[in-house]
Amino acid sequence: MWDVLIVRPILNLMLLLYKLLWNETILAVAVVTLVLRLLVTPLMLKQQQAARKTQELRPKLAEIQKKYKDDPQKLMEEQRKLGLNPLGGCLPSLVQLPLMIGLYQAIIRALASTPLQLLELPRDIYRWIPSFSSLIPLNSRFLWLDLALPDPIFIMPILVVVTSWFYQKLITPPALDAQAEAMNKQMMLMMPLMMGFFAWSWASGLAIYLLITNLIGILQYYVFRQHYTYPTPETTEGKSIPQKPSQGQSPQKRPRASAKS
Amino acid sequence: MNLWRMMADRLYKRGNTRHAGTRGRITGAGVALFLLMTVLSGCAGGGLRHESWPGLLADDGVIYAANLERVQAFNTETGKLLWSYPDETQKDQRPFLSTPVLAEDYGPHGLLLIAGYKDRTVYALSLGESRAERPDLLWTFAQATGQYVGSGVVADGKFIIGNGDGYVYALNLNDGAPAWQFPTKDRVWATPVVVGDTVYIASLDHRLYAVDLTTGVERWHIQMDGAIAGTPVHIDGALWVGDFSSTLSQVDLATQQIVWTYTANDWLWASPLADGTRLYFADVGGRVYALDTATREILWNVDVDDTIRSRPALNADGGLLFVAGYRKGELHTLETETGNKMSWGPEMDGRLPGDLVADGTHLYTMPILVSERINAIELRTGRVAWSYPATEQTK
Repeated sequence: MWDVLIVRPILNLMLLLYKLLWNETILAVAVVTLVLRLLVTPLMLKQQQAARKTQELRPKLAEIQKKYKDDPQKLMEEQRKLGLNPLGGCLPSLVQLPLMIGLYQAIIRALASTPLQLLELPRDIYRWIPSFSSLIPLNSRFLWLDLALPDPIFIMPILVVVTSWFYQKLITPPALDAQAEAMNKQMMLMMPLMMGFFAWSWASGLAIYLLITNLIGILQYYVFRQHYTYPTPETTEGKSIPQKPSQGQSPQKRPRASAKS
Repeated sequence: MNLWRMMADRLYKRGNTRHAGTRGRITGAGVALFLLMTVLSGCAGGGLRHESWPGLLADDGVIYAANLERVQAFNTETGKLLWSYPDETQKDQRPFLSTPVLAEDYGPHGLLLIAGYKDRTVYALSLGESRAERPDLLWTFAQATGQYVGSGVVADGKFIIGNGDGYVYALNLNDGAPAWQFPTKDRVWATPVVVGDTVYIASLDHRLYAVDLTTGVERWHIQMDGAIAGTPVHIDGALWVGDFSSTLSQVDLATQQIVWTYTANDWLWASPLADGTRLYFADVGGRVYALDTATREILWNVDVDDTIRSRPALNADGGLLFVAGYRKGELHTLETETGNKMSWGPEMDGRLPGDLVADGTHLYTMPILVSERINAIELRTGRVAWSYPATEQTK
């Protein structure tokens, strides 16, 4: 069911794009990543809005959590009154996650670097679209890369680390306290390094996918910037104190971003 | 990527509102990320041992099996292990998968040519006077940059083998020095075929090349619709070539033209099996075909409902055709006259992507994803004569 509904449509879309885009795997991967990112953009923005609302109502939320800590039923009711849905923020993720994992699997299957991987591929290809089988194996050469193998000179992992860090920096919400600040710092370090590790150890086709995903994410950030703008700690307390950008601050704290919200 | 951030963000928010410790939140986010990445890594599949399939050669009462960590020789009657290369004390990760090749007329008592899948090295082993003697390493060739999937062929004092780097290497049997190397535009997984003074090379680049055996210079090539991964078969001046566009092509070697084609239901990957003028071939969708090459008539075709990658085998009198299934791991038996399915042989576990080999008394299989690496099945009775490693039933 997973294959039929998720992986195969993505894989065949990739094959179609490969055929249309001059048999260039990297272009097919880029376009299919872009298409899927655009498809989930409304959900992503909705999720950002939910996160922003939670952030805005944090003081009130803390208050009612304290008040009704022994009455979960009442607590949920009060949260609902504030317009907060505990599942509202998770549902978009539940839709996005399968698509992203499906895209990852489709790339792995389409590149099929080993004989046994290639042997699994015929079942995934739509036979009613003529000549798809003739496209196999996909052209895996791009510049110095064999997309089915890890990057031998580590340029892709470095690019993935840099773009992951930058993207992370853009979307990280402002820290409200010292603990959250520590958490943010950990994430800013851990996520790019983890992405870099996978880009280093996986086939470079997947590193390309990670890189393109980051670049699209960065682009989306600038296009939909107002959705990512979180209220500062002061505004959530009912005060608005203009903040000077300082080293290590996330862009959301900058006056320019705050002014747009 | 933002999803991973979102997950961490959710954990962060939950932790923050409940005033949980920073360490707990970081650990939670880390665990979520680790689990997700583990799932994704698992999706990549394909450990070292299961990227390709092992092959074996039966010759004169001995089978030589590329048995992953080492190449091993067994007595065909008893299943007794005669020797291993490298020996059992060495932990190896090459692994050996490509079917070993004998060069009887070279070295003091013959050579055995083997190739490591991951270490990209060809080894020439000098066989002892008795086949039971452990061979010595004569030379190695380690200049290829891809993996060895297909096997090689011995001709004109050379060992000719294709590689995943797209080259076909012709190595002098005396010292392993390359006599020539021929480039194609994609991986070469099929075994080269030598007819007269020409080497025919099938490549995943959709081409069948004809190359001079002595010099390695291209004479001509033919473009197919699909990639060619299976080894072509030579019958009466023509090569029969199956490709991923589901087309079986008859290539006339004299005119260098495709003179006839047949479209199967699915990709053709398994090497066809010739028996006189009859050709048996199977597509990966599980349909098995019998073709009379003289009349170009499809005599029968049967669906065995499995994925077929391996070359089939015949029993001693040619009355039964054995077909190995990859997806279900079943051994299918068909009557060669009618294509009727027969109930024959044992039920076995694992999967069967590797070529079947029959030597007149036994049918040998090398399953993957199961503890028994080699099974010898008596052709007369269909009973498992021995397995390696031995099971309770075959001890």
